[in-house]
Amino acid sequence: MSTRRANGLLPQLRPEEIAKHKPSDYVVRFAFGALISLAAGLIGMKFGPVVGGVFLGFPAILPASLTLIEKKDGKQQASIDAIGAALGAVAMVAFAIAVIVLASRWGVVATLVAGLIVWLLVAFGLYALVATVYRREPSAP
Amino acid sequence: MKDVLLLGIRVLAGGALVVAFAMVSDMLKPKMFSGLFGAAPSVATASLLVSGLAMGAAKDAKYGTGMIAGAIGLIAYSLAAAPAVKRLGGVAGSIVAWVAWVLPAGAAFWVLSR
Repeated sequence: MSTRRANGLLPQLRPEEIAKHKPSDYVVRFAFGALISLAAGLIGMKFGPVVGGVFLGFPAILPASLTLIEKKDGKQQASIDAIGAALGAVAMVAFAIAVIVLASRWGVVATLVAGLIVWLLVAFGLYALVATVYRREPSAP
Repeated sequence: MKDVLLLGIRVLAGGALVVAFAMVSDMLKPKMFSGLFGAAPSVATASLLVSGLAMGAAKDAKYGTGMIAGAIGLIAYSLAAAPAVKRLGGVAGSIVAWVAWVLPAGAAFWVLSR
């Protein structure tokens, strides 16, 4: 029983799922991504990069994703997606720390590649930890 | 003129990376795992790449300092959105949860900028 539950948390790649999404789903996400990039850029230009940096963590895209998931899979699944996003957000803190530590030593491109690797490792590590401890996808709170 | 051009590149790159991460997320199961990518640093990567190449890596380190505060707010937002979306629905729940971003992000910014 516990093995079956744990297997339910094993990550799976299903490329065919892309076809179930309308192009407009991605247009909406592009618009949200472009909008927050513009806002963070303008705020950074006006108030300085530290203030602008705060808005690099602003939840602009997540609301669009949660709304789309709710329409496609229901409130419960959207809620569980948000729990996963909380783990991803912890990893985003690690990404930011990597940028601070490495930017002046490694240059921009190498720093961002390293930062993304750090994000993946922390996010996947946290997911593995939650999957090991709880052995099942949590119920929506 | 240079600022406008940089902003334009940043906007296009930000939108494109968000779509790329969204496509990865849409291909993954289970939902808690695909949810990780809802908080991927997509906008941050695009913004830091453009600003870093144009103005130097030191500026990216400053953006990174602010980003810690924003990401702490994003943790609180996600935790608040989980019950809010279940009770209020996707649109209302995800908008209401923005309140949960403001305070932790503001408090962390205050601590980090002292």
